Amino acid sequence: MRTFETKEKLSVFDAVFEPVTIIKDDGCFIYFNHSFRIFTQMAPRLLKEATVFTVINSTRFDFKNFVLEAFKNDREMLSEEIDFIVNKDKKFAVLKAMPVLIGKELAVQILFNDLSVERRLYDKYKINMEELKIAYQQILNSDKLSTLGELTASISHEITNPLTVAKGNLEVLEYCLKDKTTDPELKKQSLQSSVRNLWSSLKRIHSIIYNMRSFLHSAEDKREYIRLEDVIDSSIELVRSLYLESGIKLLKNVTDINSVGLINRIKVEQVLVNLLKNAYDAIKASSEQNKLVSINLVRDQEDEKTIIDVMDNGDGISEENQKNIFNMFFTTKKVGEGTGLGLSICTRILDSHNGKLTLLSSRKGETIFRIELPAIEASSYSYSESNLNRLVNKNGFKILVVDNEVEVLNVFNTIFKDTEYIFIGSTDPKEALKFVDGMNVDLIITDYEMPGLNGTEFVHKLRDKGITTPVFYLSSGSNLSKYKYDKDSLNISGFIVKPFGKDQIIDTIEKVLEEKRGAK
Amino acid sequence: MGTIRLETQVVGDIATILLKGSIDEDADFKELSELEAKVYEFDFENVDMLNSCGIRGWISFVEKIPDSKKVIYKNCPQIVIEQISMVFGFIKEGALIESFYAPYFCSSCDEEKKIRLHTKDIINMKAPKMLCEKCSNEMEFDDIETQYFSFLNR
Repeated sequence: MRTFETKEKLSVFDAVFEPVTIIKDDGCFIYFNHSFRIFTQMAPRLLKEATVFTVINSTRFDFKNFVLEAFKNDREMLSEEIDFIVNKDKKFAVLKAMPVLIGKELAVQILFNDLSVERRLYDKYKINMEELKIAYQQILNSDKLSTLGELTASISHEITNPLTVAKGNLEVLEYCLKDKTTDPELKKQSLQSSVRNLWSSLKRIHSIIYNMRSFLHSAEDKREYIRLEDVIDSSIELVRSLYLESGIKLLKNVTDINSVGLINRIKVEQVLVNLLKNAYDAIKASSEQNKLVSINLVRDQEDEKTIIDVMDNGDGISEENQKNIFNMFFTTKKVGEGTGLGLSICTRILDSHNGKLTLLSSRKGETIFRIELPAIEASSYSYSESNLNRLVNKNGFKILVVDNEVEVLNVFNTIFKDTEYIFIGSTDPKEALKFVDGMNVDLIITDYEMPGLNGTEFVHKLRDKGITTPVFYLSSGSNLSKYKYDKDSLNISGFIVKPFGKDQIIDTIEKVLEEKRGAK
Repeated sequence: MGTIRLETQVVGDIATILLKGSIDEDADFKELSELEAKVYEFDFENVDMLNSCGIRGWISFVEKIPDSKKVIYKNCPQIVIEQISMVFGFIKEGALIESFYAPYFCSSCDEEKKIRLHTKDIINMKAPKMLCEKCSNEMEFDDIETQYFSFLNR
């Protein structure tokens, strides 16, 4: 216990910025520093006649009990953030109380961490942030509508083709139904062919409209594990007719078909459509004879990221414009033709995915915009962490799930959403091994049958690295024998049979983590 | 009272700026950056609140006033005096605190009063004697002198 020989020794707190007071058990002041006087906005003569309980008036905090506990237990007590009225002003603070000896007299020292300004700013800007988020969402939607507006002519042309095919086949059907002379077998084949063509046309129209609606779908920042090639395909689908009409070649080159991202599909699609639309506008105006736009996806294993390049062989962007193209409202298009928001929105979207957008090169014959997205393990971790911070509990256990099927990862993503667990997904056991090298995880759940490395091989490599993290196998019942074999030799904690339910997963994890918490 | 409002008057080479309201995170002193004068008089009489964010903004503004200019602080209320001792830079280096308010208490009338004092009237960190307007009795200084007047030693 801290001891002060005399009251005079308390003057050491005179120069301290934080409000400090020392009180008896009844709350009467033995000492208070100048900062405490300012904090309470009360004259010293009034403080001398009051108690700390009357000066610091809180309805939700049992101040007396807090002080009593410090006295009784002879230990430092830290309060949660409390609000109270001080001289008609509402203030927020965290209190620290500790027993002290003044000569032979037992007292309690209380330090105040005044959080009033921070709280005021937090409350004020929380509202402003909400308004900004709404405004930003409206800008995003406005950009989407604008893009869709520009694509509408081509989309309606796109729908006209299958409609024409459908109409033609309906006429054939009509004829077949009226005709009595044609051979029944031939008629039957004709009817069947027409019905198939009709279905095909209707499916095509449905797909075009579905794509448009999905693209327009706004609201929440829902992240899912998605194959990036699928996103490229749906983006190409939206602009395809534009390119076809203008005779511009649009090529796709994907070197890693298994590249997966934890992304908001609609937003990343918006980025790709923006870039493809910009490339189209640029190359349409160029003098190049063999107009070509390509979209290339490669996996950078070393830097653990996926790269998507959108390249055109147009005239390039002038050096002067290159400095400004990512700025909001900057556009080289005529009034009414472009808002200038596209690239700044794309940058913002990719920033939110911990990725980035850069202009890699721009000269006559080659302009490349590069999208970089982090490896899914890193994305999962940072996404879960940021969600967890919103739940206030920052001490989440990290659970790594390795499964080459994105659908399984999405199921886990849903299960662990709004829990205290940090969920990290990985579709590639080799990438997962790299990840655990740099990050301690508390539990690993791994699929058994995976391309490249199966469960046994994966855990072998883990144990060779000295990683003793509990591991569960996740697989169909046919691989139970593998678990029994590996249980002791590789210290496998358990086996989860597919298909699985949420409660089953949570119960299993809780048991393992209970042991861990106990060990900690 | 709301965020700070500035009323500026320039007579000859002297700019008098009356500050009204709260010096908080929304306080904006940009309009004063265009001011050209030899003497700047800042009157804090009507400042009713200041917080650390506002003080930061104030310091950022006042730092930019060239050292060759004369800067005077007038009619500083108690809340400003309290901050002067706590925050470096609130008073520009070389500036003069001409006048401020100090707390007094009349025990006969049981009333608190804020009395305007001039810095030159403070000798040896002692509060000057003040008489109550109502009962003419001597009032006591309602704070700790060494702490309240510590800004004079900066």
